[in-house]
Amino acid sequence: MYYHYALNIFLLACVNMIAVLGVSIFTGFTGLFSLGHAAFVGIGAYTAGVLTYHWYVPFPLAILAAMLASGAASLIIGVPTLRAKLRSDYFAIAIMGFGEALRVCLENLSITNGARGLSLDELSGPAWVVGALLASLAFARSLLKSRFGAMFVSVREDPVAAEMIGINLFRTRLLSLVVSAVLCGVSGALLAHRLAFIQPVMFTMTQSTQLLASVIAGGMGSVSGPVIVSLIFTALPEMLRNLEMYRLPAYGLLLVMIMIFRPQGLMGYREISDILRGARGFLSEKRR
Amino acid sequence: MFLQTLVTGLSIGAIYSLMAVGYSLIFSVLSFSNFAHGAVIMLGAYIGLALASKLGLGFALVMSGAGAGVIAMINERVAYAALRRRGAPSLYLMISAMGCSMFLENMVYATIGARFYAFPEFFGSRTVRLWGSSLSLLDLCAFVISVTAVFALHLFITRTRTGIAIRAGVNDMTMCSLMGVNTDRLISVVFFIAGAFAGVAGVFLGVRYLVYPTMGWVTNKAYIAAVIGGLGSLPGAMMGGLILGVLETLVSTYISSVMRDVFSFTALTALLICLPDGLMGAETEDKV
Amino acid sequence: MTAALLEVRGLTRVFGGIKAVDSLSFDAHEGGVTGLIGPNGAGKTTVFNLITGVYRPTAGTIRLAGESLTGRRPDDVARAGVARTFQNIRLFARMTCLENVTAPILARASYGPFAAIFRAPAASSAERAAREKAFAIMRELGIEETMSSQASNLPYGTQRKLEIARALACSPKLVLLDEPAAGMNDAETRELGGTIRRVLADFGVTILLIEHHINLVLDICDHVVVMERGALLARGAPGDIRENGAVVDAYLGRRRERAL
Repeated sequence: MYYHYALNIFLLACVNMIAVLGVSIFTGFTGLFSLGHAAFVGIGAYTAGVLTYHWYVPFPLAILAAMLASGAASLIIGVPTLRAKLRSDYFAIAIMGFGEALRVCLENLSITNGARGLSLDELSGPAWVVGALLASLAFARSLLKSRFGAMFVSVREDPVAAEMIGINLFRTRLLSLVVSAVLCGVSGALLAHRLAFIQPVMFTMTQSTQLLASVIAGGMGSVSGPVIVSLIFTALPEMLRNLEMYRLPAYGLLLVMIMIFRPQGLMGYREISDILRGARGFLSEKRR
Repeated sequence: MFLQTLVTGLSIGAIYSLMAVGYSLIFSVLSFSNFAHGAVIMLGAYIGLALASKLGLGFALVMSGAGAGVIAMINERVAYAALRRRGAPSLYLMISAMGCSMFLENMVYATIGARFYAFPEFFGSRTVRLWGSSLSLLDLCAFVISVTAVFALHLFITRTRTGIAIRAGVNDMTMCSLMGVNTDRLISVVFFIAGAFAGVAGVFLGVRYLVYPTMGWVTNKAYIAAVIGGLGSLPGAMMGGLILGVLETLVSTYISSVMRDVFSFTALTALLICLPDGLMGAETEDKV
Repeated sequence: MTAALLEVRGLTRVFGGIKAVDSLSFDAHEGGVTGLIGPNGAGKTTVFNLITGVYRPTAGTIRLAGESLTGRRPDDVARAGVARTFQNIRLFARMTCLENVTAPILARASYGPFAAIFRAPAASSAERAAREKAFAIMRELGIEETMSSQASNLPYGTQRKLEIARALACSPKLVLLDEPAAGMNDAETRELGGTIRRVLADFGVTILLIEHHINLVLDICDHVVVMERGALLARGAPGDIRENGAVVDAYLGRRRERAL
């Protein structure tokens, strides 16, 4: 029984990690701020949910559709807002508005069953969830190791200098956004069929901020940091049930404290592997 | 009927302006989106609520303006000052602001509770008859007070020593500190003004709708208004707020009240495509 | 004299009614070092910003090897063959030195996102080639031993060199150097002069240089353009410039006064 409970939390954490990975690519690696990535999770969740609920579409196809829908939505917001260069605030604000507009739509459409939500089948079993997480990690790692990763980081470090070495800011930022939205879409599709229930209120700014909190606390410019922290953030509240009320204020306080005292977060601009390699080097040096 | 809708729209628009001007003022001085603005509005509304039933609306407006101003000032000192002094990227300030917003909002949620509160009736359904339309006294009052406040701010910024120093700070903060202006004090003044405006807006919103922990989310509209007017431009924020208020009211009266928020977002996106710098924003060029 | 690589004609930029650059015309000759000098506030950096597309000219044209650069986006100008350094160093601070120099080369690699995700052989070989090329450039400038340290941890002079290395990694025709010797002492400045001359010989680039160390300018430039208040004051060989009365009054003379 306890095992089952632990497994459920673990799987939920894995689903969250995929979305956190997406936000990490966008905020941690490309340096743009988003208060609306939960909207992409929501689009993924509802696309997949509506497809399996109304039309009995096979689950893999539903996931694919969720990825496409989230990616397309990110283009709709990204194209007008990321174009205005040097003022990424536009994007942060537009995506907030987009998130709210999306919620209103979801609450009022009959196909989504409005604010009451959709009851779905529990289709994302452990194999699906863990498989998708591993695939997403491999995907993110390859992308970030490639020339696109180098371009993302250059844009984060200094957009002006990046542009002057021949990087197209708009296209680079847009690519980063689309990739992050697609990952959020996958996470949404899995989440919907993991919890077997979705409601518009599950995809608001609060959720966006939690995604962001994981990335910041885990460390910007790191994949492993945010992923580890998101596991902690999912598991910890479950253990501290009676302090549930103070979970969100604590997240808020944590964000402020991190920015003031440790802006690099847990693993800022490093990976677990770097630390292990460093430790090994240190040990072998000592031996010598 | 049309005149009535127009006045309602102008009144809502004036409240948006009040929020947008404060937000834009902070943006123009520190170049970051203060996402804690909504929380200050909400706290202002609670202060007003606590005082209004005993002491009347006028006193409540003054006290919540002052209270919210002080809260905004403390917020800046605690959460932004350290970042600002070490020249942290604006991304960090935005994250810190988000943390504040999350903390304040959820602290209210955890302590006062999620209950919706209504202000006592001040105007009832008292109306003024004008050209055959009956206009709500509340709308007129909100409109007049908001516009007066924004006009007073304009006079302050253009006529007084401190105001001129703020405008100089808008252009070059480093220059200002070199010239011997006390930037810390200046920024406190800016936050006090922005907070006071937020507090007054919060009371009006509370009187018009209800008071609850997440009511600050309405600042989405203020952000959109500021972007419509051009980020960092005060007359722009004022115009943006009024335009948004009127358009929204027209949409909800003549089309559908559900579509109101969807409309705001669509209008924002359309505007960003046509006029990336907003109506009155300066051409955005970074110093190299 | 060789053909002009960069041709600037009637370049004007107005900021709020003030002409920061006022119908400026000059050439930078292929394979040479052209110095752009003038008192502070003469509009030299604005000229760089106009050439690289940060600002749009109010009037005038800029051509590189016959191709118009006027009003093009900065990344587009960079790809057309113009690279630059910045007065207040703008490195990618949290990247290693090698990554800083590799970035422009990778930005020009041709494989797409799908090749990147599936680690196609083309992607890996392009990345290896980029690292090798970056390392070679760093070795030319004598900073190869810093390759794995973080850019922000370097001493000031090395950061300047790293910025030059990053500019060279853009495979440019024209390199704009904005006060490369700022904050350096005489010995360091002399060494920088040697570096610039070596870069010129090894990479076959043309250089446009803003500099206040007048000795460095007179030493390495073969053509000097003097600006005052946005407009052209004089141009010619370094020797002629030194003799030019107007220049001495406007610029060199003022320096001498300050020195006295």
